[in-house]
Amino acid sequence: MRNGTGAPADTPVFENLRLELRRGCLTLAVLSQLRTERYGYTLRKALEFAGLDIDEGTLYPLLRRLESQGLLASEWREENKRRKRFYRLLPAGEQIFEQLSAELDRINASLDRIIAEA
Amino acid sequence: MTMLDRYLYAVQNGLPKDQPAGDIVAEIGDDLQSQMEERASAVGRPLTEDEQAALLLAYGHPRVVAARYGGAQYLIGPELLPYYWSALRTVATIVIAVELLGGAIGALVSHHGILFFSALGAAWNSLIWIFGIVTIIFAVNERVQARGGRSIGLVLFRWDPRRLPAPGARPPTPRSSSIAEFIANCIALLVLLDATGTHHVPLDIIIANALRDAHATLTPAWYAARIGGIAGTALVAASALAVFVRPSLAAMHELVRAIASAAVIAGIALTLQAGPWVEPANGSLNTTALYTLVAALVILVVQLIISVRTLQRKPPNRTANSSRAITRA
Repeated sequence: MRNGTGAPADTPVFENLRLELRRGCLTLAVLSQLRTERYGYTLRKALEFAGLDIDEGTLYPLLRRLESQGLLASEWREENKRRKRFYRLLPAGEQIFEQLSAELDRINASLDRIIAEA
Repeated sequence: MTMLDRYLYAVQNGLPKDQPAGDIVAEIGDDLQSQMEERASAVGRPLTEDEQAALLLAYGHPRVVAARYGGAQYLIGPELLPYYWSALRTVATIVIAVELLGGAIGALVSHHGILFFSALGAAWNSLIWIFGIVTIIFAVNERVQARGGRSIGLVLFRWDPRRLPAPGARPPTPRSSSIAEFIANCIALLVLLDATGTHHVPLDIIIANALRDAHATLTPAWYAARIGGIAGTALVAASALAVFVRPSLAAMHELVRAIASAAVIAGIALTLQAGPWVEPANGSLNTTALYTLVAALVILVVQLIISVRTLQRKPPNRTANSSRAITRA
């Protein structure tokens, strides 16, 4: 199979471009899922269920970064006899999420127009 | 201690000092345990050691997992990298040029050509030091920048769009080419200067020994070729150094090359006319000298033709096209 650039879809070129495309979207997806309180493993499963795989090595550092930016809060609690770290969106995170969602809509609309014209 | 405990310990050891290691390791541990439990419930039995090892291998090397919690993921990031290469090239070429120039002057003043070759050896050492020092400075700046500090690149490489050079007839000469040309001409100059009197440069020593073994001597006919050669190599070396400092002087350098080639051609032509070139004149060494001079003459004529043709090429009118495009936009 080949993508539109002429490079096969399973080449490193396609993979790098795909990762670039996904990077910003992952933050938005994580913020959206944390409107409900979750811990890391269930968050990952929820994203996976929605069709957006994210590996642990990306997710946990991202959660930490969002927390240090004041968008998330976390607390350790016991569940099923194990301590787990639960994350939830803070008001600042809600606001950023709304802004990013609106931005994504704008980008999508522009891209739809650009691609349709091409 | 389980395999998971050892894995988490290895992750903890690799975490940056400013990160809450206990928290991070507990979270990773919980995630891994959840994954193991999920797999175990899927297969209906506890995971074997091999299965656990496969899961940890898939999770990633402990150092890689730990490194993701650090700030800068690069030794030198993409923002600084172009400045880093420029700084490395500039510092290396300046230091090496100064070292070689010092070696060449020392060799000429002391009449010990070996001094130049010692400087050549020392230049290799300098290259390693320069690479290390410049890399450390930029790697430190990468960390400083990540904490909100200034980029060393913006400080060292300030630029003004109004002062960018106009498009030339050809792309500016790479500095590495200029410095290579400078070094080659310095060596040639040294060989020519050392050709009379006591010989210290290896090539001159070899020629002098060969002549002594054949009981032969060079005639004064060589004087013109030697003077032409010294003038030509000195001119090209000086011009290459100027182009190194200002790569946009490439057109001037081509003109200097043409003049230098003409000077050497004139010298060789006079030498050819003034033969014989070796005493006694009836030996095979005289024929060898003749062939050598003719070969040098042919090479220099080709070089002169290339230089003249390059000088005749007109610069592309890129500025006009760009201006039109801007106006249309």
